Amino acid sequence: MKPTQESVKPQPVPLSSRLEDNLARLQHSEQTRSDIVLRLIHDSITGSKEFALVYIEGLVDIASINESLVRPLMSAMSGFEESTEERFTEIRNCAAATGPSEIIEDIDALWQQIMQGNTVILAEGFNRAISAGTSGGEYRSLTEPTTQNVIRGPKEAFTENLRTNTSLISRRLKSPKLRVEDKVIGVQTQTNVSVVYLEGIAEASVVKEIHKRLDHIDIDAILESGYIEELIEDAALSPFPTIFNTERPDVATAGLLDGRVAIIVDGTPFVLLAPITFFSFFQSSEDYYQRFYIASFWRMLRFGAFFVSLLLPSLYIAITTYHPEMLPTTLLISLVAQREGVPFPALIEAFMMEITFEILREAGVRMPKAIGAAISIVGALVLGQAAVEAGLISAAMVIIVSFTAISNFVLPSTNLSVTVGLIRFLLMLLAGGLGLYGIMVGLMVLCIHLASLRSFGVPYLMPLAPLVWKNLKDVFIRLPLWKMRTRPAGVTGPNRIREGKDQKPAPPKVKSRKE
Amino acid sequence: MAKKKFIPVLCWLCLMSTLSGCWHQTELTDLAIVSASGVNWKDKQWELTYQLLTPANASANASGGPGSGPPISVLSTQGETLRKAFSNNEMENTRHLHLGNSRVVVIGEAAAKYGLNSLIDAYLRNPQARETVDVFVSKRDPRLLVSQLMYLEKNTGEGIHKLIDKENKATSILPKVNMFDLANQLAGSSKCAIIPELMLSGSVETGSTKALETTISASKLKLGGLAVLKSGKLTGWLNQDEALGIAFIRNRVKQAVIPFSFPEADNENRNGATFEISANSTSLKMRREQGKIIVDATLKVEGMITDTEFKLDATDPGHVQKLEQIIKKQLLDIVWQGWNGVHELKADVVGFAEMFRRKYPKEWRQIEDQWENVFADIEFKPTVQITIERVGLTNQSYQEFVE
Repeated sequence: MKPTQESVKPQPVPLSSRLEDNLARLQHSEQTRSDIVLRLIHDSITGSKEFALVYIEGLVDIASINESLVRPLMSAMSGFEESTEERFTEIRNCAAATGPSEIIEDIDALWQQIMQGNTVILAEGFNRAISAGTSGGEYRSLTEPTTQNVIRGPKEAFTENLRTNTSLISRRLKSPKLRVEDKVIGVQTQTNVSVVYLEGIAEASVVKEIHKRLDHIDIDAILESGYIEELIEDAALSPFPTIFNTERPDVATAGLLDGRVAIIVDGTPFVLLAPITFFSFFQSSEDYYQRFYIASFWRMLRFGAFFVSLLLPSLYIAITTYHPEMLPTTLLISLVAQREGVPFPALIEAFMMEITFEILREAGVRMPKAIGAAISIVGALVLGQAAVEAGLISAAMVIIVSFTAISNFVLPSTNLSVTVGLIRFLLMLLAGGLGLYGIMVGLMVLCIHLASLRSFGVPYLMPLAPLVWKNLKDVFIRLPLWKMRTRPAGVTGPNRIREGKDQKPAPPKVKSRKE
Repeated sequence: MAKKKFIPVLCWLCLMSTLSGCWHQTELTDLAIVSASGVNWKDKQWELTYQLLTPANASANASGGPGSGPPISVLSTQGETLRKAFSNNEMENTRHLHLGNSRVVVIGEAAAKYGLNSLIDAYLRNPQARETVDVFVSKRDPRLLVSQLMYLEKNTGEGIHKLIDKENKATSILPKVNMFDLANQLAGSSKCAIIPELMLSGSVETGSTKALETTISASKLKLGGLAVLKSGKLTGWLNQDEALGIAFIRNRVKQAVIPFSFPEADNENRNGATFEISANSTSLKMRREQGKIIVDATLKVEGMITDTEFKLDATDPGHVQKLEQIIKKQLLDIVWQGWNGVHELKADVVGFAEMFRRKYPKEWRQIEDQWENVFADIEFKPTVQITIERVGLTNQSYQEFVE
């Protein structure tokens, strides 16, 4: 693999001990970047330049620079002789007042520091500079999750700020085993990425592999966790996601406790979780907050909805055009009566309607909120009674398409439901060409493909293929919490036990009061 | 490597779906849905009659609302063979005949006398036609029966299917025979079969929706007796009493209604009562004594008294025992009627040949060809055990209260 041009790192340019020289270097950048601020502090007696503060406006907390950096520096100025080591230490102490400080020796490091939102202090007579941790600025505050909602459960979601996100996890996981390992990825964007896991619970080899793959990334920009996902996933060509994403801190935390590794990317609320299995996409965090009977029912409902959303239109096409004898006579007559006068074959009709729905869905997402209400009205007309009355489609097809669409959104995870939508079209084509036989062929290929996938070494269809009885406690049904003693096998590292024995609650046994 | 293999396989599959030429794809609107069909033998030709559903009129609430025309239409074709007759429909029919949802086949008496083997053959050979269709024999032209409308059922074929289904469960007189049963029976040890009769009562005036505009239609579809077939050909008819007797021997009675009269009743003119059978099991035992084959039939019948004209005291065991004796006699009488019916026709539709073949396999081979005569010599010895389980909600007859 050839490195990109930028990745050939030039020799670092050391800082000069003359403030004038250093400033001259920065001057050029100041003219081209209006958000870079150079603040000079002059000696009140000689009038010579003594200090320069460099930072980027908007990335720094101005108040803390003014209060805790500029003021102390001014007062510290007069007390020392020029260029002594004591003076340098004094400046360092000033810088330490605002946050972590570092000593910088070349221009590149200086740039990096100010890009992170730190303030760099250059002083006359030193060929070193000091950076002060002043990062701050505006960020979106914590809000409710927008895509992964629950009825019962925490209402806060990750934000775009990496440190806020790690804090949301560490607030939930006060374990000393929690590891947060930082990386900077993206030559131009210099995006901060944190790899978070629980030592001992996460498989060490998986953590190592994730680090390896992250280190291998050589790209100019990381704007969202989707970039990372696409660059480190196992099955790059598969339509199925092999990395989970969530904007819920409780889901991320639960993932960590199952031995998964979270990858948090600065600038996006979507946190990646790996390794995962196919069935992770059917689990919602609420499953564990509601009673287990209800949660199990929901699970099965979701699997049902998955198959409906995958197969219903293709089954309709296959049965009506190849196997009408499978339908009860009354239904058959009613379907024929509806289709009487519909100009298109079932396959074309289904395709038209499915594509119409996909367009509506896409429009609904992209449409500005102000005119969002319009889409539901127009959509109801296009996909509803009006289309039937116009004789364009049959009423049954409207029901099929609507039910398919609704089923699609039962899946708690959007990225799987989009995949299902895509495969649905392929199955519809197969059904139109080969009937039920075609659907079977399609499903077979699908099964083979799914069975061939891996997510960081974990088989994609894990508790089913290979069959792991112990893991089935949390797939089609959710067993009560006191029954789930162990973490999922195959994913977790050495620490497998989740809870003690005899966790099943029961009232204390009352001794008979015979006396 | 796996990916390199997967992509060609995917391409191959995609291409295969286009190569299929869409197999035998038909749109729903290209189907003529057959709900019932009739088979007859006329002028040395097969005549096939198809009852086709008109979807717009037959469906309950299609988009255009129920139409005003009749829910069915009838199509008849002739030909020297069955399949030729079938294919002749292409000359006048715009849609493909869809036999998959057909429930009923009505066979004319002439066709039944000519022989049904070719019909069964056609059904077994062709995947489209299902062997689960109910088979009926009619003394009238099946074309008339198939074009008959029903009051409550728009889909007449389905209506006839419901009729025999319900009858079979409620009164057990006529068996439900589908094409597969028929093929099995005729290919069985005795080569005999029974088929229920479908008849048309009243004056023949069918095929018009006007027939349904009056509250009493001039003609109606009804179930009749039993047609008895030997080696694929019709040999005789049995009436409903005989049919019930056969049902008892064949252990096919689930529920049945038995009227009887009680001679010891207080009023000679008012001595009727009804016994309704709720459960029955018949066990048959075959034995040989001095070269003669004897079949013992034991009926274990349970049921209840559902109406009486006379005073009945169910709390008096003696009284009940007397009743039981009377009902026993009545049931024996029914069984004998059935036995005499098949005995006269020398048609073993009760499955004795199969019993014999299983019990005496060596002898079976010798007498296989003359089973008809052997069957005629069989001695039949039925016995009945009866239990009156309930007498309904009152212990005493209403007559007693009145007096």
